[in-house]
Amino acid sequence: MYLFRDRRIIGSLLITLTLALVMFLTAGPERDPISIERFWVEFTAPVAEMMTDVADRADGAVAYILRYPTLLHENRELTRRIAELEAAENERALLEQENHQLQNLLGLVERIEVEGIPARVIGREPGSWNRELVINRGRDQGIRTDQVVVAPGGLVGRIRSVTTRTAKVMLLTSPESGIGVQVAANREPGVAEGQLLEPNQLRTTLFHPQAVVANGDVMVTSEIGERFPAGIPVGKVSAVDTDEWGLLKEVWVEPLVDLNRLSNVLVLEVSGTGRIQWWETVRDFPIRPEQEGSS
Amino acid sequence: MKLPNPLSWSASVGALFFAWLLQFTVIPRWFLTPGRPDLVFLVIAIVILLNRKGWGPYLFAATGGLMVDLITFRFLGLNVLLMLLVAVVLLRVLQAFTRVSLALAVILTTSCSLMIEVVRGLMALIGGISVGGISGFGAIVLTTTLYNGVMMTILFFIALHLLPNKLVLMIQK
Repeated sequence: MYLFRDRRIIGSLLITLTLALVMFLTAGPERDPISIERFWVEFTAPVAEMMTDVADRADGAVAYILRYPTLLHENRELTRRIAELEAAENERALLEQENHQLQNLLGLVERIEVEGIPARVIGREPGSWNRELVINRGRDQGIRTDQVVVAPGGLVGRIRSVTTRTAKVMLLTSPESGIGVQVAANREPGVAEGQLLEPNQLRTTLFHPQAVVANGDVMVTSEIGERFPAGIPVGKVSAVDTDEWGLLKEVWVEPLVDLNRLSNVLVLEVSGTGRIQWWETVRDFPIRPEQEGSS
Repeated sequence: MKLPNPLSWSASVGALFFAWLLQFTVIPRWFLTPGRPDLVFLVIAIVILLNRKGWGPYLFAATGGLMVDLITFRFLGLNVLLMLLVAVVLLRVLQAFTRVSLALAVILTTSCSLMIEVVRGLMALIGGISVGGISGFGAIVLTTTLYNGVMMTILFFIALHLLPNKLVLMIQK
């Protein structure tokens, strides 16, 4: 009996030590998934995709029922807004043309080429201690680590790890994420960081305490930092504050993309340098890539 | 050594896989608070509370932990270890009781939930994740524990009173 008890204790210790060793060896956040992890995520991806589809439809049906009374009013408002935006777009095209001509004259031409791979969100980080997504495109479709992930509204995050047919995306709101940003209107630079407790807010530190920024200002990615090309919309300022020493300006930014309800994303392949022409990049963004047979 | 009955094992693993699937796809979309319920843990706890015999509960707990570990790509083995610990704690405490009431199930599960979330939070800190200080850490741990307590009350009530007896007996085999 005592021997049996001893065996159980020895067995428990061996299991604990083995698991502790495996944990130690697989602790790195930026490591590639090992074969058993790759197998599991790819084996379960089709079922997870089906489940996500069901959840999407359920969400859509609930939203439709809840929002039906306001749809007519919203439709009128959107029609008016489209007319405004078309006028603004014409003006922007003229200014852009003028800008290109002036840059050509000064020899300041930057070349940036962007291609997008559409992907579908099939799952999310199951625990409470991080914010990540899994998409249904991987190495076979040309996805690589550190590629930028966007949705029609703006930045989503970056690719953290890749398997043959899936990839993991670190969201911009992840507590591990830090992004170089700037105020779109006046290019005041700063760094936006994700918060675990505030999943829908980015804490942004602007480098200049006198920086001019107000609620509603749009933040875009900046030239600072190498991970993201400049010009991708990140979020809108929701609150402005100065840090306790008065040295830096702290700004709370609400992401433009609803990361909790996200279904489809675009993984960008960027080459060259310069600012992204955002509207050109997402203009042809497919609503449901899987229905168009893209792979 | 008593090995689990294949039929009961398949039914339990099926339930576990479904819980994992919900945890991976639906729960993060619908629970936008800092903490969220842990369905995999709850299914493991319910099956252990209903079936305390042999090696089955340990094997089941390790399987559930592995399912979670394989999707997080970080600290592989952490959840296996935590779920095994939950199985050990639950089975030890249950030795003192002949039958499991709803209140006992909820108290035990809530305590275990608190324990595993604290460990997960500490491991997140070790992994370099900023959890927002003590208040952030506490908020996430307490919210998750609260959700798990409430969900356990509902799920265990269903398991005890609303599931067909044959199904419960199958799990208990």
